[in-house]
Amino acid sequence: MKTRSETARDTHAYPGPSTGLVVQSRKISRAELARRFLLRLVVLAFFWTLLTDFRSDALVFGLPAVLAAAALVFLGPAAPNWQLSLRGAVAFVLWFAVQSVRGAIDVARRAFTPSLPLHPGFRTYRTSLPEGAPRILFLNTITLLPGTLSAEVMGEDIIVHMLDIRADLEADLHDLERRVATLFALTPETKAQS
Amino acid sequence: MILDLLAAILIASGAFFFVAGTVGLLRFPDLYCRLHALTKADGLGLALIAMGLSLLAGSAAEILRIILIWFFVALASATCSHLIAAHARRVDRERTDD
Amino acid sequence: MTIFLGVIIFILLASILAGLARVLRAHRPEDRMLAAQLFGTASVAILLVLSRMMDMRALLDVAMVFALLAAITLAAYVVLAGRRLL
Repeated sequence: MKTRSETARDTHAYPGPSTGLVVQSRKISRAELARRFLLRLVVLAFFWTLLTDFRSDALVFGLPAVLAAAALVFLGPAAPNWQLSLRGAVAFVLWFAVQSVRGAIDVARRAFTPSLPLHPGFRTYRTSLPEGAPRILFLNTITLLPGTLSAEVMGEDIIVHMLDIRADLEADLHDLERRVATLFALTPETKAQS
Repeated sequence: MILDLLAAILIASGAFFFVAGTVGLLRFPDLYCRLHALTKADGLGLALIAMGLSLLAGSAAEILRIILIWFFVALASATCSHLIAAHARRVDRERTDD
Repeated sequence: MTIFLGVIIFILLASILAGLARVLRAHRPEDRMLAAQLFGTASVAILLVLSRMMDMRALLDVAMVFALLAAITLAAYVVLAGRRLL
């Protein structure tokens, strides 16, 4: 258990030297913080009005709640500033939709086949994606890909449960990793550093 | 009429994937395989049902709300399945230690 | 359409019940968490269909609460069960 918490702390030192991808992130200025606050305010206010059927009297509760929630941006450690590429996002969502349909059909086919074609087992994959949003997205997408499920994280090693251990995990996850990197506009580190 | 038919097809295929998820839950040999069945099949099942119901919805606000509900479930289910798997692995390790 | 939606609800309910029966007979307690996972998705689906069938918008709000609570409940269960492990 001790080693686990140690690796968890290590990966917080971001971006670590072993991270293969670097982020194009700026330091967070006061103006940037204000911009984020306003963005949150607008998004949360939109959700509130949506949930209350655009009734204005509900704003008695909504306005303070939305303000308080948006103010949370000033507390806690500032998350790194991820740059999303729009083209990457559209491509990723489309690809993801197709993959999750394939994943569901695959699992349904296995469930309905009388001989139950399963060769389950665990495999380990070492990721180079940085800690935070990219890695979380990576983990959650693995679970919806055909035949794979992210079972555990130990530092940079991801333990993947597979319905068929003979499938080419390395190739699939490398492809996914590349797509996540494109989505977050991450650039590969120069060879000299790695 | 065509819209109704399309909605019915979407909802029926959604229900089919829920049944597939349950069949997987009943037939798959261990916890991890069953997680695959539940997360993937039920996830697509809900997405299809939500799409079908959006076609039948009375107003734009209703459609937005259905999408929002689907989004919450989709966001949570992959993370929940990871949590269950990670917990089960820790229990497994604890057992082999004994 | 109402009859069709009723049949769908019946199928969804049957699949929840079959899943629950399986989970309750399970060998390991972790299998119970699968019930939470199944419930989280299927109950939301049932409520969405029911809201259309009965034309009750309020059921969408119930579905929303279920969706949010299912995730929180499961996370809390895993954290508490994990603490007992240590």
